[in-house]
Amino acid sequence: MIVLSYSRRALLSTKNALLSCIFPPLCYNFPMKTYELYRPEDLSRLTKKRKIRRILLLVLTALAVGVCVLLCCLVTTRNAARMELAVILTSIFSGWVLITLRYELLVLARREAEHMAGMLAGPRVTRTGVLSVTEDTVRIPGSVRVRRLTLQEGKDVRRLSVDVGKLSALGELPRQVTVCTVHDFVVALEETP
Amino acid sequence: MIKRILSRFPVYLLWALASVFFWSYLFSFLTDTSPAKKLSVYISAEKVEDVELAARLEDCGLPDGIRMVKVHPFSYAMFSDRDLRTADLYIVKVSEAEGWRDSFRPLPDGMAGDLDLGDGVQGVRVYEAESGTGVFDELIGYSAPDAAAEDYYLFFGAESQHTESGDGAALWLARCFLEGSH
Repeated sequence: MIVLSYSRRALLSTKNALLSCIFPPLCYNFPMKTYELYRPEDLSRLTKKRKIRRILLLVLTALAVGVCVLLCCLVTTRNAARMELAVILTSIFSGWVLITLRYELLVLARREAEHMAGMLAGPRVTRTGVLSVTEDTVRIPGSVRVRRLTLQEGKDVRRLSVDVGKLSALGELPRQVTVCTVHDFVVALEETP
Repeated sequence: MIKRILSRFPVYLLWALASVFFWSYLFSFLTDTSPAKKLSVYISAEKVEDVELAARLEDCGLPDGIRMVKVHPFSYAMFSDRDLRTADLYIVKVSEAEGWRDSFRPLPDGMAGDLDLGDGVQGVRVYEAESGTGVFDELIGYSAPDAAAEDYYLFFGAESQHTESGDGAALWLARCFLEGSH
């Protein structure tokens, strides 16, 4: 059985089928269920999430700077040495937290969004074969982590990739499928009867 | 995630170094100022509670135009004697007074001296070795256990910017120092 990672897949595939009747798709019009791994609404949701995170990070940065400035304002002759130490420690630790948050919340999300935008906009190619997953996971420099896949098309074996976060959406592998790829990244999956 | 955090170790290290340098630089402005806006006292004792003594002198109420009082032991000026030469007041033990004579000037009018170094240069006794009592002796280590006890004297700096012909703040500081411990 196929493990469905998206709850609205059935609905979406119907929608895709209807849309493909009106607008000729870049990918083949699959006769069966299509599991789209990248959807425009996911991209807009991610963009919105990034905006909120950026505001949150700005607020935290302002808060950290505010605390340091407040400590500077409280400096007297008696407490100058203690205050200097307090300001330096506050600056170091808040900076570490903000650097970590910036990377974990913003940079990774930006990379994911850029990857997603590339996948949605790129030229699609359809291939059919037995799709298998390998143990090979790599991080594309400045982009997402991907898992390597292989697609056996008759005698030919083609190396494909998929975003690690989307791996579960592929269901149980290996199996016979039709995949839609953009620059050898799997962006959609279709069961082949 | 821990692996990712560890991979950014150089960034964290750089941030820590930048923080230390930046805030230390900023604090040097917050806790110091130009000689025209501060009064400085150099003390030739081994142990001086410089921060507390400066704070107590500031508690007297700073004159107009003066932002702070700085107190330092002589060892503070081991790398540069510029600040030491321009100090407003000196607290010096009697055996070292003659050596620093060129840095002193005569006492202002109305002040009586206890030690005469010649040419009008006089010092006011602030510590009496015989009785073991002195001004702010809880903050200034006048007597060292491994050295013979000596009297200490207060002198006015020859290159002070706060003379009586100027803002007279050095005289205010001397009075505050001499009366402050009572």
